[in-house]
Amino acid sequence: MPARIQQLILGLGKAKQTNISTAATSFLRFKKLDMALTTPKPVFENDAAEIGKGHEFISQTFPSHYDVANRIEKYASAEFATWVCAYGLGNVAVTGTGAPYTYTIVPIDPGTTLELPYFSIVEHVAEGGGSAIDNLHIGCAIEDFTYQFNYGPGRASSKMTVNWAGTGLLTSPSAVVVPATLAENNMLAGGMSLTVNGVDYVSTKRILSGTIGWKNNLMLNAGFYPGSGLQNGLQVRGRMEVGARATSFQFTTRLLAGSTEYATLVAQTTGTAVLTVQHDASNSVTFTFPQMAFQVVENTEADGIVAVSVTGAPQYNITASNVMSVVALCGIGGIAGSGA
Amino acid sequence: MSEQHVEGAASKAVPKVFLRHPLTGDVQEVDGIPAAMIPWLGQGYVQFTPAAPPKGA
Repeated sequence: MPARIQQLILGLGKAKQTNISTAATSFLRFKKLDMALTTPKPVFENDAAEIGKGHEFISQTFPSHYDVANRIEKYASAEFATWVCAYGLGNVAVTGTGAPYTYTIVPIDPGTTLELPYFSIVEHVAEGGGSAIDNLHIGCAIEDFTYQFNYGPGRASSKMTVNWAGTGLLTSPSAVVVPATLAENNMLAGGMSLTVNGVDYVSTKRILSGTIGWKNNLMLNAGFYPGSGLQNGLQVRGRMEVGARATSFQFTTRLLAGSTEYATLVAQTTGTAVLTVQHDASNSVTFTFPQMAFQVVENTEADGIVAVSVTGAPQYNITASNVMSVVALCGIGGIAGSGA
Repeated sequence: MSEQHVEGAASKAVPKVFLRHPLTGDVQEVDGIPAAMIPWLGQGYVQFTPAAPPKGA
């Protein structure tokens, strides 16, 4: 009996793993938009290129390593955005004794650590009274994430996409009981505010769309170090360190007489950029770039309306000690924490 | 009037949060609000809960 993709049950580890090889014990069950299933992909090499065999074909294969990665595309909810930013940036402080919890999140300091908090991912697909898929991926880290907003109605106006990678450590069957689907508080773009370099783009009704991005550039090959470990005779990663990280902020706004974007670009004026999107007062996410200039300003159009597309150049701010910070409010405590 | 005002302000005192640098061990007690915590977190400090002092201490 075949299984439908809609039967996928996706559980994301809530509390961070105690170490890279010990699975999380608490999970949050999310819905998602994309249909990508995770494959615990074992990689094998062969001897086709080796000489001395008397032919150019494969005569033998050899186990190499596991390579696990996937993406999650979702409407942006306060809960998922908190989860993504907490694991994607890495240094998290939580305040509040009850909902809403306030998560203050900044990128990890590479002078302190190069490793993000690790999480576990479980995927179940029921089939024929059993499971077509029942995998627990242990020791995962976020490669990059994007928050995207657009004009237009509904949840599609506010989305998040995350790419993650794993060590290859796998438990199958998972033996994980995933909780009920989380009741998420979606944050529509209609609940957004945006101020960049002193310009309030929402009160002037100019903002159209934009993206905020973060990329950790994980050093995945360096995870296969001597002694990193084996599973079924294939290498698994023993660490996943951040590489040269990068952040981005791009937005498109209607172009008016007196618009300051081009002048800001030419003068290379720097200022703060703050984007907040909320479901309500208890469920929101605020991205703050403490210091940002404009890198590119291009005239364009959107639905026939003259517009301008701005690519920001976020800068590290010494006073704030970061290039980007996130403050998230949601009703779920313990995300990326050390508890259960 | 002024005493009532002071009392009201005290009741809204911001809880403190402890942040510790994992390498130096330096501990900072800061207001538990993002603006106060972010500069320390950016320098690598991490949130922690200090152990309760032993009874009688």
